[in-house]
Amino acid sequence: MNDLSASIASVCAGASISSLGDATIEHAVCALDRVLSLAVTRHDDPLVMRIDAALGGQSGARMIEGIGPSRKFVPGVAVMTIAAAAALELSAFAYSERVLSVIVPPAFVAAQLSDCDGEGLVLAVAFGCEVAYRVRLALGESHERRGWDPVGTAGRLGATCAVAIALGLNGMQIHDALGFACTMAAGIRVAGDELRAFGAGKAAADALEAATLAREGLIGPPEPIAGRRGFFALTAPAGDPNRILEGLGERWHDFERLAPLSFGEDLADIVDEPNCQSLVEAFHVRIEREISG
Amino acid sequence: MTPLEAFAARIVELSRETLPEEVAHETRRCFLNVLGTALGAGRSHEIDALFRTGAVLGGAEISVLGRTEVLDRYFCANALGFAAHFDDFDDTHLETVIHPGAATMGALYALGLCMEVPPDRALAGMALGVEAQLRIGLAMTPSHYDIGWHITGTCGVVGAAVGAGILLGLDAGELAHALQIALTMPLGQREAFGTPIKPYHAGKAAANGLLSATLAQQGVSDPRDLLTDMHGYFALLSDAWSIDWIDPVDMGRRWVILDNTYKPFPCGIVAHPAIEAATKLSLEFGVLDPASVEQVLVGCNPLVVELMGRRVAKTGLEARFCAIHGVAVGLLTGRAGLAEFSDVMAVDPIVVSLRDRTVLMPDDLHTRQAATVAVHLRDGTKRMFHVAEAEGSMERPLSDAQLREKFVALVSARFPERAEQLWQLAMQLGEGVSFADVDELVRVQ
Repeated sequence: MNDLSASIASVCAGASISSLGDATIEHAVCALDRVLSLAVTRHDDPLVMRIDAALGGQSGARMIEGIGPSRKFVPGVAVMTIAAAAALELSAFAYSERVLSVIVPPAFVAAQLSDCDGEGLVLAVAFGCEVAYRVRLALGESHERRGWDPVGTAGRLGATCAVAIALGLNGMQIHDALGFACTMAAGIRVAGDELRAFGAGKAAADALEAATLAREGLIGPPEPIAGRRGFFALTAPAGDPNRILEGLGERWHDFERLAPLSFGEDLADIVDEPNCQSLVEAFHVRIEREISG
Repeated sequence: MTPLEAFAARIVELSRETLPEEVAHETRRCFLNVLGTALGAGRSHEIDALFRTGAVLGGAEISVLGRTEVLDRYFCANALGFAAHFDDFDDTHLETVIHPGAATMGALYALGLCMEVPPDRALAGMALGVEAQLRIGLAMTPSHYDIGWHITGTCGVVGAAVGAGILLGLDAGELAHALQIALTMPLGQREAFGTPIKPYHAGKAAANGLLSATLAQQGVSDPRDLLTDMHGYFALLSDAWSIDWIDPVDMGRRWVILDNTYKPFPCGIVAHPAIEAATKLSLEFGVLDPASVEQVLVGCNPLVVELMGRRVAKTGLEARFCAIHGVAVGLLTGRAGLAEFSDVMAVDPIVVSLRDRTVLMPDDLHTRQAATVAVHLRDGTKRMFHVAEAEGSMERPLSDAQLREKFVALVSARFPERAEQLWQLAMQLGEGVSFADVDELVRVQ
């Protein structure tokens, strides 16, 4: 298929909350709850401290609350700290949960940057999870057997779609964002928890960057996913990229139900919120509470 | 000690020794070449977009490329590497097809503006950053590139990590950790050739390498040898690889940076022989009347078709992957510089018309350095020129004078009064001169 990437981007751009069933919405809301809650609990992990020491302390035009002693980070680093902290907690889980650490943080930060409403954030997370699930399925087993980490490969693509929706990109921009995501999607499986968690943070930050570069007008190739020298050809030649598109936006995977953690009430009406400010404030409160013990 | 640890230890050892003079000189040529291409491209629309992205997502720390915007060191490293490779006018290690200068310079230069850097360490960082990435590339050549990876991005991250690690003064263990981290974030798929993502590979590799060294300094690491493990970097990114190239005994005994070359034309290097033949034809017989041409046949190596076989080019970036475009402008103007690979020239009706009458004829008789251009005129006559060894190849490298001419032409477009001075100063990199001294000349006050 010569226009697979464009078709996926087009479905992404036309995504609507009305196409989501209750279970999909609930999964997306619980994913937000889970990732943000778990990230907070790891605020003083040595990895978080190291990322903070290496990258924290920068000042920029827009500062976002992240995890670590610096507290306020430039958006790219805020994403990285939240994602890495959550990934530390999720490392023992199945792919569908581990990948949440790559999808939720950049969508959460993108929603703050774009002032997107609660419905948009939930849609972004739901779509990101769906794309990440489908891409992994399409890549096939040999992809992981060879040594690729699907959180870093398929997850980057899902996260990029999530960010693109939260930023309100159009189909052509999403297509270009996928070009950047594909070329960065070379996640190598590592042995240690620390580098694995950092890898999730890096993938999340790359997704935010990919979508922002596309929004700023940088273009990508016509077929980054299924092209002759593209993502599937290089990382999963035996895979079937067309599986990503089959029913995308119409049929949703029935993810295992996630139990709510600490944001239950704060997220109860998220789809009706005009922006994500209440969630941002709730996140701030959780961090304050965790730090003060 | 794993192969990766031994590799890192040898690099640190070499960084503490005095570089052989010919290596030091080649390193300066490499640095100057990518500094020139970066400054030349520093105001393109695509770089503007990257700067806007950096302003939204990153911090405010330093300015580079003679621009006023203040970005953090990572986005600056990215912008420098991106700009250096943007016009496809940088350097090429012919055996691997790596453009090694861009990512290494990007990481080093950006970091060098954020800290005091002893000049000799700046030179060592550049030399060993290039050397290390070339050796990693050689270990996977030709399989890695043939599969479809853009080796400038996938190996560039290694060069950037090594260069930044040396500037930061990492010890052998820390540099091994930096390399471990860098190996988890290679990027670059050849599908993106002809788009701004190609130069982004070099830029992002610079940023990723710098980040790797910074994190290693903080103690981030992984217990596995991610380079040579059966599911590691080499195994994942190539079908066949050899660790002979990273043998510590071999390193320092010979220097592969000495095999680096510099491009005379701003496009994919495999088309250079044909483009040179076209410009020589134009110089020998005079500028061509396009209406008189029946057909142009280009005898070339099959790799020209594989890498630059594009028949249509709608932008300057696409034209850089269109060998027949280079031949057409060479025949029509006698030149093949940045102006001939502009967006305007890519869609010029006269150029397009001649491109449409130009045919690549690949055969195994032409080496990668050779090409023959035959112009068949409507009056039945034929003009032909054969290039056996292209300018810019190992056999006919650009001299210092030619490199200087290229540098001054690139830099003069933006800094007409400082290009010569900048050349003189940067040629002393390592001898009392570091990155901040060089930057002083292009910094916006």
